[in-house]
Amino acid sequence: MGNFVFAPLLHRRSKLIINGNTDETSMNSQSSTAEYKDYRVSYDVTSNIESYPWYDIKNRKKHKSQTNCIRTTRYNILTFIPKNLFEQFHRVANIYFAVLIGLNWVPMINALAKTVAFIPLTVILVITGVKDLVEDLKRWRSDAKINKQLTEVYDKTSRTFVQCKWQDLSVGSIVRIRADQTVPADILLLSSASYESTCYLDTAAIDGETNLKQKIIPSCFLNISKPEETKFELHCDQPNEDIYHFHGRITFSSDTNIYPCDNNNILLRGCVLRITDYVDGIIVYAGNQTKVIRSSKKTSSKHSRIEKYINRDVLCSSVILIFLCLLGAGLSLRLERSFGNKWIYIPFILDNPFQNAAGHFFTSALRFVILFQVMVPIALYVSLDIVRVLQMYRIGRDKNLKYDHSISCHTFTINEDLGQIGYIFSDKTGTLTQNELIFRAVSIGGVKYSNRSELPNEHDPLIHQFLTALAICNTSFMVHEQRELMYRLDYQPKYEGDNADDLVLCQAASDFGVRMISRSAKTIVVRYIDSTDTQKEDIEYEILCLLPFDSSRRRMSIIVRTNNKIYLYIKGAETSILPNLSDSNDQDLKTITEQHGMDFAEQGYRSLLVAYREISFEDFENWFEQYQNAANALDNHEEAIADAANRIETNLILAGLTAVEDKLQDGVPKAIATLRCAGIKIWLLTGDKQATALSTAQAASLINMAQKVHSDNDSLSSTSLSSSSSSSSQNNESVITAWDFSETAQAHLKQRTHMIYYKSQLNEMDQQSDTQHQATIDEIRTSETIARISQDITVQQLPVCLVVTGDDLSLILRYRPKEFIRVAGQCQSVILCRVSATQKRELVTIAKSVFEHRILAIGDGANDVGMIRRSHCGVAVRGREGSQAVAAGDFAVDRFECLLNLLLVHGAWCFTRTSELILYTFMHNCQFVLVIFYYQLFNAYSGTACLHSVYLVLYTSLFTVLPQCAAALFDEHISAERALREPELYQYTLNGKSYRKHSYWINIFDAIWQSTIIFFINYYSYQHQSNIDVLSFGFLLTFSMMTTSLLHVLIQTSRIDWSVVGSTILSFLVFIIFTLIYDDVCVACSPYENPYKVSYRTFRQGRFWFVNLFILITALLPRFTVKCVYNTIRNPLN
Amino acid sequence: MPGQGETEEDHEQQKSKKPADTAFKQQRLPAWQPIITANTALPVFLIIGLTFIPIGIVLVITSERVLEHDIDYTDTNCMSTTAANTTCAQALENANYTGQTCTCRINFALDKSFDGDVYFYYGLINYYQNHRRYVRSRDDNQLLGKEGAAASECQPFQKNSTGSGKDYAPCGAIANSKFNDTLSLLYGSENVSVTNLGIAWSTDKAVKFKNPDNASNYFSSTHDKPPNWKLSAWELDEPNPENNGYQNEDFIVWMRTAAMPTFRKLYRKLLRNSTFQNGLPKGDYTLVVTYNYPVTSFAGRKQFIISTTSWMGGKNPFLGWSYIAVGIVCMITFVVFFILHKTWKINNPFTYQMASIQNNQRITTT
Repeated sequence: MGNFVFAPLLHRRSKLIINGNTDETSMNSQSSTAEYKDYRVSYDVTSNIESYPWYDIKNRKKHKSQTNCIRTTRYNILTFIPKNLFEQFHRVANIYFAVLIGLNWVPMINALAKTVAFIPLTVILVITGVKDLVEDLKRWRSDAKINKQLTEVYDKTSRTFVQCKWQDLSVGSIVRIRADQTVPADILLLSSASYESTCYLDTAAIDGETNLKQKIIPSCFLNISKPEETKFELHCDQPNEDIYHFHGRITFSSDTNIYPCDNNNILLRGCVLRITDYVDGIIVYAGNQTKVIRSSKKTSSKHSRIEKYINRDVLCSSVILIFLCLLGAGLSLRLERSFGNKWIYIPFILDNPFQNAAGHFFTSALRFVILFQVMVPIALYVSLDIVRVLQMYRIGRDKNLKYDHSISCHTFTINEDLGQIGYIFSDKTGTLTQNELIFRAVSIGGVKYSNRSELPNEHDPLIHQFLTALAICNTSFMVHEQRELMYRLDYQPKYEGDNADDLVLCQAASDFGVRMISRSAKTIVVRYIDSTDTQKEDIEYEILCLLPFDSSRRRMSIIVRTNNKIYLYIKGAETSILPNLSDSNDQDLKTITEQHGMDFAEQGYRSLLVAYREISFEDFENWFEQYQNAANALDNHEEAIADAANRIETNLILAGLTAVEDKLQDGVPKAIATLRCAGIKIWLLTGDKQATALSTAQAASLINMAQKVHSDNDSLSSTSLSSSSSSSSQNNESVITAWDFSETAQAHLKQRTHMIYYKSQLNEMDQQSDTQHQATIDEIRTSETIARISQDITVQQLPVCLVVTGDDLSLILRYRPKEFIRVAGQCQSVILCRVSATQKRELVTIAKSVFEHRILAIGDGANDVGMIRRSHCGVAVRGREGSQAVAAGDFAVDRFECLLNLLLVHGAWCFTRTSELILYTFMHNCQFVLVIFYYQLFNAYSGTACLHSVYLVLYTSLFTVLPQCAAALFDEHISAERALREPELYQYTLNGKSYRKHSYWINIFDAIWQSTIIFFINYYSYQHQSNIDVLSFGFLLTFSMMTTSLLHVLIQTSRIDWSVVGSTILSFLVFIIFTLIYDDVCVACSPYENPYKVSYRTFRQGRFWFVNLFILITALLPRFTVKCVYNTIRNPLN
Repeated sequence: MPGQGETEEDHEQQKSKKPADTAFKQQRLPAWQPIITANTALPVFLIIGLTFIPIGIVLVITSERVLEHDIDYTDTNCMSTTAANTTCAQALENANYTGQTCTCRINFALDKSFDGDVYFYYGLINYYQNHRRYVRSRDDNQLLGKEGAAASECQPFQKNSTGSGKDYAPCGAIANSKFNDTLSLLYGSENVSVTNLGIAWSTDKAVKFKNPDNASNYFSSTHDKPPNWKLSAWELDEPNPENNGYQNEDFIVWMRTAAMPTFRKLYRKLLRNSTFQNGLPKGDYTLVVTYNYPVTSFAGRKQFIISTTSWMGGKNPFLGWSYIAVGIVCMITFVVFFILHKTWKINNPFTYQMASIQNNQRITTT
């Protein structure tokens, strides 16, 4: 048997067991065992077994999880009903209803007709069930679609690759993936069509990064031409959700050596193969065990703040309910006992009130709870859910939010929060900007050029080197549409690639006459076209080494050989290259170039420094050896390569600087200006440097700075002016007046922004306090600086903008995060530069705990995901940086501009609509309960509802719910145009003015008034001629409540449109028709409640109509009066 | 130009993905956004005031025209004709409510003649016919003449559990406590002719209450009469089989339980013949009461009520006065708003000023 070797690993997830003996497991083809700490995949081609489908079926039965069939559905046909019911009864509301129904079955308590009491809960359960079913069907369909995709799998009997559905794959199968196909499962790379034994992957679907990733074949398979015909076994980690790490050991049955493999050899499910023709790989994790699916399962639920208000008011209502119940029960006991021992002669007292007083008290209290149950509007949570989904549906249909796609929504519980956003945390690149790069200028040898005609005619070696660097120092590749035309002078291949900067620079070089026309893994051909466009010269460069871009080095370089000379071309961030320049560089040139860099940054351009060097053969040989060692290193592969790269990237000769503009998205300046007027504070979090960030902020009208007049107001700035985004303040102002804003908003926008730079404050602090820079006192420095800034802000009259960079931020976050956020929260805007993804996330997390208002995070890239997830409301911009942010966001929009409509219009609407719905529900239910309570005063507190059970149950849940829901979908407290023109009206919802603490009590008082009018007018109008019976009186009350409640909605909504009127009429008709039919049919439906012909008789009385007219007007008069007084005196919306 | 054609097509395609641009789907249907201010509310108050006051006046006059005469015969008014110095109530109490009957005569005079249809009611005060247990203690199926055991709701008057074990017919507390005083009126010495037909809802009599087949056997042998009843249901109006058993109109009226603790129930209608052609003439009357129904144990009162009617029903000035009151309030509101409106017109309405924006700029942080 096997001699087991335990190899402790650093990896956190599992311990590996290396099984030296593969004989036993290799008897089974494609078997894998997933024991607790050992995950093995064995592959053996020789064992001859059943054909594929048959085997697969067997396998699926044995190890269900290991087929590649994914299942995201929650139910199947059998489990749907029990499981769904079980889940639904996790809701407090449903339990509340169920308990009350149960109590109603106790004969002593029974308050309603037993069967009727089931109706509301059943309806709720059915609606929610249907909703869940539909959602699950959707998931099932998408699963089926995914599972039925085709791929090629190696068939052992025919020894060829055959077509196969994804779901029929299983762990241990060998699959072939062709270019542009999606990887079906997590597979270990075995062979590749490319002779470099590598392949390129587009991982946008997984991590959102758009640059291609290179994956390599494990070293042990390099020399095996047909890996599908070898026997081997892989031991690796248990399935996990860590998409960045993988460790495994490969053992061949032919020898006993153990070969490592790691994350570089793994292709994850969902990636798309690029460039490489095809690759083969063995499935390691399949189906639901793949890393992507495991990692995507984490979903956090968000709750809107309005739910807090609801809970608070539900509590108040519960207190009122309990009070009413205890009062009723007490009075009931007292009254029945007041007759003394004569009770026995009293026809209407059937039980001995002197027996078991406590029991009597509690049963009658519980009976009142059933009777008054709607006082606590638990069904509100259900109607809220439905209304919110419909609200979202309506938002999705708004044409103003639609560019290429309509807004998509993943969270349906936070619509109202959109109306309460106090802070927006925004990413810059791709969010404010288009992430669509436009080449603007180059600075070569201290001279700026913006197009080819400006280049000097004579051959300048520096320009030559610069352009060559742009042309070849990149990872772009090209698609030849008409290869046969390559000989032509004006042949222009189409550049493809995943680094947008590379592409635009490569294209720029081509426009400047240095055109990369072919590229293979080994060589690059560059065509130099002379300034007259008449002659060409093709030079072939042999690629010796490519040192790719990584985010820590922030540069990339390429080493090429041409004409027996070796050159290194490098481009990267200024800070990453400047220290490595050789001393032989002209200091003036360096200064001028740096100055140009500043200029570019001020105009909001992104700049890259380009440099080169010539390397002697010996140097290269020496270095290349080191490099190859590093490249072959098994541990710390990347660091080793970076080290090696650093050794060659020295003594550089400065060539020049490029400037690329990332244009602001259309409408961003206006959007930001409007949001600022709305009182929303915008925090810009960017990875860019301060100057770029500031200029973008200025252009986006986030800040309004005193503009430095550019002396070189040349073509560069004029082009930027002509573009939609403006970069000068004069322009800014004219734009503001051009926007259709109210005067106050315009005045507000024209105010100059007072800038506070954290760094300079810190420095001043240091000078004043005369302390030395020591890490130990960082804490004190930070807190004192924050205090200083705080003082500064409080005395400042103008809007304030705080600027902080990433380095300072890390100190702040370490020592004084909350204080900082609190101080920064007072600023109009905050600009944070050089911020990492983690810092973004932390900032949002802390801000959430500090700020009173809701926080919205908007971003487009994978680095914004943390921030989007943590915020109250995460919005993803669909951009060029993959789908990860979109998957994480609560909403996904096409442009930043969408926020305008989303917040100022829909957010504000949703908040007012929902708060109206909530308040109305409380009011309306309270009115209903009080009417029933008043009746208790006149029936010996016995618990007679007087309303028929059907009305009692359906009144709040069916007859009156529709108009308010229509209002919750269609009401507009202000028109959309006005919301955008007068953004300051957002304050109305931002400060929650439509749902304040006292709103509840105002509505309760209104409910008391209405119920008093409804009950007592009916009572006294009929009392004197009181041959009226219980059912008729119940109908009177129901009718009055119906009409009052329906008309109440019409008075309460700020907009009366077809939907509200229509639903009001519909509700009324439903009520009348139901009543007429029921009263005609029901002769003996239940033993004691048969309203036969009651309504018909009631309608024939003149008194009935006069009473109702009176009640309708009198009950609504106070609200009408208060509303018109409020509107006249101090409505903020007028 | 093929290129352009293509882009146009693309454009078309994109368009089709957008929500249909119909008035309905884009919510451009007519809507009215009224801002109710004092100005717009002024006419509303005026209209309410101007309509409510006349309505109120009409209602009050209508109510005043209805004539009504109430006689409380609970205790001192109703002295036993057999035992001296004893009220009928005391007589019943002395007999411990074991079925003692007492008769009394009450003389009264009508100052005005009651013209037109005249209705006679008995009224009960402080009688909770709407008590939860009481209201349910009936079996509508039994009253429909259906076979089968009495419903459990009838408890504790479902069946004669101490005696024969038979179901009560009719069962339940409501039926058991049926009002059983006999009230008759003499005009001088002439009997006031009355009818006991047409006093219940016609639909009740036609549909909701049906005698079972073989009614006499049903009421006399298969079922017991309720414990408080002196006669079985089939003896309620023996001469008139249409008005007997469950279909007896006095019984049907009683079974329609009153909504309020002070209630009246229609007892008889005046039969307008000979002397009473035009209603009840004014003059002296005598009410003869056969006092069976005890109410003193719960401090109840019993009344005999003679009333005419109007299109609004019986006498009730409450609604009319309410109309007048609200009408006056609306008129006052109108005047106040009108004055305020005149004075405010000079000042612009308060708008959301810059000041409030700046206050809100420093959003409070906690």
